[in-house]
Amino acid sequence: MSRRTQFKFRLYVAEGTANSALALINLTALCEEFVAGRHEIEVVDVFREPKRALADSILMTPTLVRLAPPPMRRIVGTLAQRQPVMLALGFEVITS
Amino acid sequence: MNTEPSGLPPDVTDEISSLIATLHQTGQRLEELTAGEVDTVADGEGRTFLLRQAQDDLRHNEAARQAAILNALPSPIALLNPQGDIVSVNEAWRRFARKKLPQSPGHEIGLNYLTLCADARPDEASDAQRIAEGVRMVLGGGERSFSIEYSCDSLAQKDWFLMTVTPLQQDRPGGAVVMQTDITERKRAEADRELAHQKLMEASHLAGMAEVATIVLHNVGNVLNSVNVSAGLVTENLRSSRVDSMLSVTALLREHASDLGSYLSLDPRGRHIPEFLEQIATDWIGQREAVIKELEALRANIDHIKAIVVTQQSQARASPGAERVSVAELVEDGLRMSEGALLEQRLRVVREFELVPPIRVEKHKVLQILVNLLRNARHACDQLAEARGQIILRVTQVGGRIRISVSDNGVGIRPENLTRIFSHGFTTRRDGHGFGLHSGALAAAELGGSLTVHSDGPDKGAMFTLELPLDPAP
Repeated sequence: MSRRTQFKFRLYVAEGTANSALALINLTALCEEFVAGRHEIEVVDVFREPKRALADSILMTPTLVRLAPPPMRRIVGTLAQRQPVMLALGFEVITS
Repeated sequence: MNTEPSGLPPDVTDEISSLIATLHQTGQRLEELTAGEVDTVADGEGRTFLLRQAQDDLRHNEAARQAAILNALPSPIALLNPQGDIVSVNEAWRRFARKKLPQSPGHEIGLNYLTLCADARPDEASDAQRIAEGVRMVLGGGERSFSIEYSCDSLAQKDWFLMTVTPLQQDRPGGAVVMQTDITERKRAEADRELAHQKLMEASHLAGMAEVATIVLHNVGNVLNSVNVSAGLVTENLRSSRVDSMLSVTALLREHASDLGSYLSLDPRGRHIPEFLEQIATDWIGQREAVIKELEALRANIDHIKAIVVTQQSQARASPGAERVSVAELVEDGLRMSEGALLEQRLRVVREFELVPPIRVEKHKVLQILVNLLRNARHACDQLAEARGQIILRVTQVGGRIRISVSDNGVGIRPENLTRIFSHGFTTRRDGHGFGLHSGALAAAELGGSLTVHSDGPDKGAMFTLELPLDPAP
């Protein structure tokens, strides 16, 4: 994937819960590490915006949706397992 | 009907038990399926279910957030439930309770605040009773908030607190927040200010009295000058009287007692005697006229002194408060008290009095201001050529207020001084103490009025305006 690819994420959370908070922390850290300066994260609280969750067929929180680049991907959970998450998100592992 | 201890029929209880078992199993299975990484799950219709761990998180977070917010606030705060029980307090409240009541467990969680008020010490009972009433009103939804300032002697020093009680929920009864704010500093500052103000008022009153006394003495002194001159003239007149020469005439007449007829008609000296007597009589008549005239002037002057003293006395008689007075008469009284000084400087005094209704006012205070303004006006005209100074006194009515203005055509006031002129200690005169206008402005404020100044600048004269309410608020 190109070094200029823009990443756009939407993270569905239940505000105030531990797993949702972890997911946001992990996502932010990964983005800063691999795609710094070319990513956007939108956080959606399913309690505040239940209709959006329903429209996106979100059945669990936290759920991360990669909106760009295509194709759209979903990952459920705290995003704590780096390798599979990086792979799923399409982040390039820079090996020295 | 046979009922369980819970009060529910046995079949209902059974169903509840079975539902809860299902709920637990469901929750457990959901957690297993989501490997503990998920907080909520939803069905296809968007009905969200919070997993148990997440429920605990939320509850814990809420309590922690509430405690953090409460503890971050410096004021002692307690939350009361609808019954008035203390359900939560912050750190500041604990410290406050320990400090206020070191021997008691303090206003801690679980105690009823209303009961604590009812058990207050006798010396705090009346405040405590009012506080309890206020708390009850807020808890019952009758008041949107309640606050009271109270002092607390149980501490090492007398401390003051502002207590505010507000409902926990604005639109329905459901407990209350009690907050104590330490206002000791503010109260002390207020007391200090009040004391300083009182001292200033006393000082200004004394200064005002001294001012009036100075003017009275000055005026009396002026009249006494005339009295002295009159008395001197009378003395001089009588001293120069030719009454002594009558003795030599009577001696001559006695010497010629035997032939008085021929002496007066034939003797060269004797023949002059009738003429001489006539001359003396004429002199005496003249002297008598002069003496009477001087004595009359003397009496007029003494009457003037009496008038000055009476005017002053009638003002000084500790005016028992506001009285109904004619504004024009008041201004005339002020003029009379300053008359001597004004005449001496040959100032022209112009009166422009509108017909205005009488006012209720503390007369002596207005006179104190007027005398002061007249004195200032006179000083302002010091540098003008003889008989060029002019003071205009105006009385007008503007709405519900009476305006008395004193204008002069003297030295005027620099624009930068216009704002400072009423400050304590401000003066441009070498012998001034800067108290007159300051105390004047204070007195005007006390009367519910104001004292203002206008001047177009140096050498353009000045106009001071005293505004007084027609009917001061009681």
